[in-house]
Amino acid sequence: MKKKTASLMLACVLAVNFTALGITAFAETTEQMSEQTTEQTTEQTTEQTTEQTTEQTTEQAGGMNQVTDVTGREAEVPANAQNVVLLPGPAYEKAMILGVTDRLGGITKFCNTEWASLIHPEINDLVVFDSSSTPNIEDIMNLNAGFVICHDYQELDEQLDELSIPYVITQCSGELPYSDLEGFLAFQETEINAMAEAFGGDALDRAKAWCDYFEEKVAYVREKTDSLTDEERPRVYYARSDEGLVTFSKNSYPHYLVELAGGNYVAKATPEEMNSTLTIEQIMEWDPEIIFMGRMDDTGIVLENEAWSGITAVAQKQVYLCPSGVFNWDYSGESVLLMLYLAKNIHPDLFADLNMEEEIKNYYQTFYDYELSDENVQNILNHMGPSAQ
Amino acid sequence: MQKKKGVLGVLILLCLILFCAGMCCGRFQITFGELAAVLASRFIDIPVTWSQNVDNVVWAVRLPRLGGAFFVGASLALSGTVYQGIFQNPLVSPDLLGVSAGACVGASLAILNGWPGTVIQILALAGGLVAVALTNVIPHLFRNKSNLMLVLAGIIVSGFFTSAQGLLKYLADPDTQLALITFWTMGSLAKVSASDVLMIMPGMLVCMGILICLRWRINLLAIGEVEAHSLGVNITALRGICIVCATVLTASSICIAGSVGWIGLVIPHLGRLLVGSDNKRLVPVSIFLGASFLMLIDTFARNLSGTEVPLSILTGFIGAPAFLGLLLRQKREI
Amino acid sequence: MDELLLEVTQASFSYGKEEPIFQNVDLTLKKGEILTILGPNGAGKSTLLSCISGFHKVSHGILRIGGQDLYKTAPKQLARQIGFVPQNQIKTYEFSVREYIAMGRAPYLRFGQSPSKADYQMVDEVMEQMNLLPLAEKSYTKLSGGECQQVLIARVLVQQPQIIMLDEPVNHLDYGNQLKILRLLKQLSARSFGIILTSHMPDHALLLEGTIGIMDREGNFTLGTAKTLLHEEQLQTLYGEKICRTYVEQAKREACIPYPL
Repeated sequence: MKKKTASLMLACVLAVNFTALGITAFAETTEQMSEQTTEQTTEQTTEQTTEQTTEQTTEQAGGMNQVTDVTGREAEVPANAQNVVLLPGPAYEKAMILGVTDRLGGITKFCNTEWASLIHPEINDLVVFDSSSTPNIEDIMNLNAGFVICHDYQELDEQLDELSIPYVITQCSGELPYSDLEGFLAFQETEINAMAEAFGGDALDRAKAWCDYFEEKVAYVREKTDSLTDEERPRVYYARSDEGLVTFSKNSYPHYLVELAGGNYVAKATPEEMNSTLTIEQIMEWDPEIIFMGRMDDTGIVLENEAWSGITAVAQKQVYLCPSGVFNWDYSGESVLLMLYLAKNIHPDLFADLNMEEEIKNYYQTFYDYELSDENVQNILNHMGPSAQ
Repeated sequence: MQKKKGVLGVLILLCLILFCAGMCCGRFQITFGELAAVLASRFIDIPVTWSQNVDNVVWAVRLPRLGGAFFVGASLALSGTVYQGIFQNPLVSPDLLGVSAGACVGASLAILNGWPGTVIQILALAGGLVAVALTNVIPHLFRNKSNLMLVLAGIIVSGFFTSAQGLLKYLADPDTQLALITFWTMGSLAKVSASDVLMIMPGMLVCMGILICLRWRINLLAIGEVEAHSLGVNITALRGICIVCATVLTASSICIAGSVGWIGLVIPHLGRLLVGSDNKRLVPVSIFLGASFLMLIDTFARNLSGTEVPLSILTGFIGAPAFLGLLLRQKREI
Repeated sequence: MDELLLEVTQASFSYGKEEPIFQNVDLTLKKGEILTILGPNGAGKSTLLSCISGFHKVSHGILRIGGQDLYKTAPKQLARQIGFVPQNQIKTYEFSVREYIAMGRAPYLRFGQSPSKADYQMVDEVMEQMNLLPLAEKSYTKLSGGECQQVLIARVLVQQPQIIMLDEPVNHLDYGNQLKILRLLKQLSARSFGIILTSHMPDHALLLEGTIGIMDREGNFTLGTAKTLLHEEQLQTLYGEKICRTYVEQAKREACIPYPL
């Protein structure tokens, strides 16, 4: 009896600890969540469904679009599909570029930023999914989604296969499909082209326009920075969030954008891809000369922290906030603007002719068909929403 | 049971050695000479031959971090020892009683609302007290005060609070609050500043002082209520004071380092192996053993790679097998 | 020698509104007196001791200790007058015998105080008297039943009370150890401690030669002597068996002996 009790108790001890560990680990790996609450009413869902099913069946007769997605997988989706669901965070801004926002049925909550809903208030009528990796599959079925844009989450993709819901992969969750600058640049175009092929029609032309613009801007920047010697490239640290200790590590957007802009990206030495939490000593060891602060709105986090005070960038006040628009500049179609912004701040003399305000206005006008006011532009530059918050 | 003399002295020495080792090791290279000079420069006048970064690593990074590790390790080990004593149950710890989870929920709630540091601390304490109170009440509902019942109650309460924690995480802002809350649940000393340590130190020192004074009395609670009463002990008052002090220690630790698992469970057992069950000797030994352990673990967390390793991962990997080993070695009937 | 230590008048106890566990208990205890309480299992003997120790409070009646209301006496003060050895010990931790006995000094220490050198000296003296010194560093969880009972009594002795209460002290002990403990209690009564104990064996009451209390299944309490209480009729109602009290020539004492099975 005593033995029994003892083993039971040991099992309990272990159970508690493993559950605790399991839960934290799980929460770590699930992609990040935003503060927004789900504004998802069943009423809305059913309304949209009934309205659009008839439309869709007639249109589906129009044929299929052939798509090669970012993983090289061939997919077939109905042409003129409606109620498309966007599960990756950086997807709505591409739908805006492609001019297909009226063909959407649902998005993840990360998509709905203040700038997105200023330009397209109808974003607030879409069904909202809480998660990119584990969306409520029945909500997708309810929507009778024409197709789904998603990550390469294996379980989700298998589920969609089983339900015969067509899907196109535009984002990679695990290993990135590129590991050098050329690969990164190619990926940017592959991503938007995959989406454009799926939507078809005008979207293809608009994607082409964006790719041309992208190539032009990259060429413009490279022309000035390619010849820089290692000594002329300052060490740059990109603080993503959380008191500046979380960074984008190697193969991330900021990694290549900073290198393009003529900087030496210190965090490319990290073992992990994408996100890393660093020790302050590691950052001191790198001793960056310029610090960009990604998803934060206060340079004081770094400038007023004693531990950072000996770092060259802080001592010389070379700390800059990063702008934020329809989606985070460090992880979306708008990253081309971040490249320009980084270049302008890393090499102000080389890019004296570059007018950031004009570039932003021009981009929003060209690709979003939206005219920004001067105040709008300042707010974007200062990592604020349209209401300056 | 043989009593080993001088254990406490050895542990204090170990603490000092680990402190010095911790000061020397880090991703940022400093030589021992530089370290000594930087430390001495605050007391005597020597020409500054080192960069501002070296000064910062010593004074603004490593010293607060090791100080934090010392106090957090000592507090968790002490509160574990006290809980095990007053609940007459060697299987409880701040984690198992739900105190850690409760304090985490309290702290997360404050973070989510953007409240200041002191409120975070107060809510962490409140969360911890609510959790330990609930865990304590459940066995009464069943009129069953066995070890098993208390452990089960702890599982129920910490399970509930872990879910609450999950909910708060789900609601948190991914770029500012989530990382902070995740850090809270896995434990890290990465962001400890001197002011953080100074903020929690008074409360910790007072509670440690009280518990050190009461350490012999905890023995009386450990032999059971009826006997303690027959010895003229005011059980409610004594137990109440001990629970509040131990919970303050746990909650304060969680405020600066998040929840670091296993220390509160394993260190008291290790201490008993060294000096026996008498809390008069066990309490000071636990304090220094816990402090040494966490200073060692944190030095690893800082040095294993350029990125931070959450403390609970390391304490779990070391603590869990160590606990099994201790149980086997003691071959005790639980 | 006849100083009154304890006086219980018309005491009864019940949990809430349930049937009383015991009722109308009247008893007194003088210095050097041994009171053996007999009764079947579940009669309420332990609850009565628990009430006298102050752990539970009687529902009705008055308890006086040294002339003072027992329930108005400060817990520490009470602990200096009554030492209590409950039936079951919680043996979670491996305290050494010496540490365990030292806990008896608790009523004499302030809140934040640990036992002093003088306290440990007293502990050592008591251990020496009881020949417990060889066990001093042994873990009290590893003691045999008889050793454990002696250690418990030693702990009560360093408590320096006037009354020692023991709940079934010889239960679970082998026969030799039972007699050893009873002899120890007898010796303690000679040192003018007032002793209350509970037992299942009427013969123990005869061996101890003291006062006898009987608590029946209904919780009624009768106080008396061997002569007035331990007769065949009473023993029959108490245990439901035929038991006689008779003088045994060889042992030169009266004994309670059951009839053949």
